[in-house]
Amino acid sequence: MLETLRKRVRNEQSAPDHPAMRAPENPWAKAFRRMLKNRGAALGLYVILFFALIGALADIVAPYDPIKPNFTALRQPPSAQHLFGTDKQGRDILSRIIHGARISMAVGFLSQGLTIFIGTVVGAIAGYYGGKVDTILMRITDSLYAFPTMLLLIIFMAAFGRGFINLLIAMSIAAWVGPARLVRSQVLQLKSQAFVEASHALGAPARHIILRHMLPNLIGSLMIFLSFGVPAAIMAEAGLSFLGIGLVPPTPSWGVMLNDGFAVLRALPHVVFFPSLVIIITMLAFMYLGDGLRDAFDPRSS
Amino acid sequence: MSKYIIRRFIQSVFILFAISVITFGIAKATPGGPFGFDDPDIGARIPEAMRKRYREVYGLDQPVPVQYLNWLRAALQGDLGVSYGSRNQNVSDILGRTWPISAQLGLIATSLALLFGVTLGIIAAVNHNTLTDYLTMFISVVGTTIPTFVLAIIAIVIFSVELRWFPVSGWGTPERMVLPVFVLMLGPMAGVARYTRTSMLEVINLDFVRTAYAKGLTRRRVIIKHVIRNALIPVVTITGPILAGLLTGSFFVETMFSVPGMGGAFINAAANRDYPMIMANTMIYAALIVFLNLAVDVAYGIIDPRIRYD
Repeated sequence: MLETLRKRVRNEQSAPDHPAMRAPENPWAKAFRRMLKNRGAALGLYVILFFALIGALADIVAPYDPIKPNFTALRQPPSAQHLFGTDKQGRDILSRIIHGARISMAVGFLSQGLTIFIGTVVGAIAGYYGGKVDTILMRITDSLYAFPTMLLLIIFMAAFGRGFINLLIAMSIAAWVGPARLVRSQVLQLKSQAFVEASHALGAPARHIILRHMLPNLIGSLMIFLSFGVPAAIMAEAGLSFLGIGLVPPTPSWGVMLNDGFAVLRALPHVVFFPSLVIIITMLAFMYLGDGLRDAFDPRSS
Repeated sequence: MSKYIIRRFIQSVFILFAISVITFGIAKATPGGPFGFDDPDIGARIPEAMRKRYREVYGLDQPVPVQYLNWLRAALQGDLGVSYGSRNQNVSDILGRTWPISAQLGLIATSLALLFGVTLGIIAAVNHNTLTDYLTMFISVVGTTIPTFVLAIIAIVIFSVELRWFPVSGWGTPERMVLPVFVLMLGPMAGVARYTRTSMLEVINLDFVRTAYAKGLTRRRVIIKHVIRNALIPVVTITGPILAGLLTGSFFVETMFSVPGMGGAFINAAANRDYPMIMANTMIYAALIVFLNLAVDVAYGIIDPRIRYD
């Protein structure tokens, strides 16, 4: 008797296999799956992962030293030994591009991580507390927002000098305004929603409300921001380095390589060709991924 | 409306003031100072008396806020100081030489970008989901995603090195102007085309368009008289971002094609820490952007009576 009852309970526990009875799928996983169905976005993601991977493993993958001049292999066109050829100083272009991928990815993701962190903190404080704090913070963001990003980057790099750390700082200072405005407007919207008011009524501290209730709702739009911010940062690094005010040669960055190659455009076109090509591929990959992310996370937009 | 304009104008002046403080602040926070006197390598080799004289001549012996006020007072009276880079030249003289060239380049590029961008956008939208549409959007994707400096390299390789159609550097004669204008225009044109197409496609499905068809108008007339007119209104709003894009582009284009304009001079000034030049250029760029944005917003309110400013 008892045994049959137990059996029945066990059966009932295993019974809800009906789709409607299953726990709802994690919304992140769902959005991610939606995105991967978009072929362009999936391809973009794989290309970026590929660059991130070869960048991370640059020391193992790259066939030659990216910085040390090799006087026995100067100015060679692409060949079996040097797939992408060598530059004026005999450095292997392919190796420099592989190491450049590491720099580009590091600049892109670190600078945007920092940007989003600063922007979220400022935006959340301004939006949540409102009043005078909001007014002051928003006046500052308005002034910076009117400042063209590239102009601010150039001034900053000119004043503090070239280099990786300075570039990261300059980029975060120039770009945090974007996520700050975004987060502020969303926090303002969320503030009046019932679940936030309920939490507030239960006596939850501001920190708890912002971190536990608001932040998860912001992640979607911050991801979209990231997918447009990272390529913009990679492009800015390449541009500044190309102008000679970004990273210091002989750093194997794609922008520095463009600068090297532009000087010998007529004699050694392959030196400028390959870095241009990887920059174009990277930009297209991020664009398709970004569009896909936007459609997946914000179905209303399309 | 006039109340709104006055308020926005005051705001713009405030923003410009803030930008000048930020720029001046960054310039003064420089490690090493403009002449590198605090730099242990360079500074040690310069005699103290000479350093003192330099600081006095350029007013660098004063406290930073006083230096800022001196700069502001002089700048408001039209005196932008002496360039640190080429020490016998006034910044105003350099700007007088470089500004017309950049203005010419910028104006031609803006006009062509708007003209071709709007045209391509309309063509793409009218032929929605056909080969023409895909082709136009491909051009637009290329133009918006590929950085100006890479576009410039491609253009130089194809049109200058391989085909030998145009010279690579200089300004003043029409054949020298083609490549810089083309490269500078491509990005903004692509953006305008994309935006126009989206806007057109939104309007094409609205009820009033169906009404226009229903009363028997030809497709041509509906598109020209009803769709385009309404679709172009929002396009006005992207003039601001276009301008910022053109500005950034002009730094690269002027440097790469050796156009003797403001953008190239600004990059030079930045690389040489020529602060009077940096300040003057930054303020001109900022004023241009801030006031054009204001003009765009006002124009938008006039074109579209549904927009209310209070």
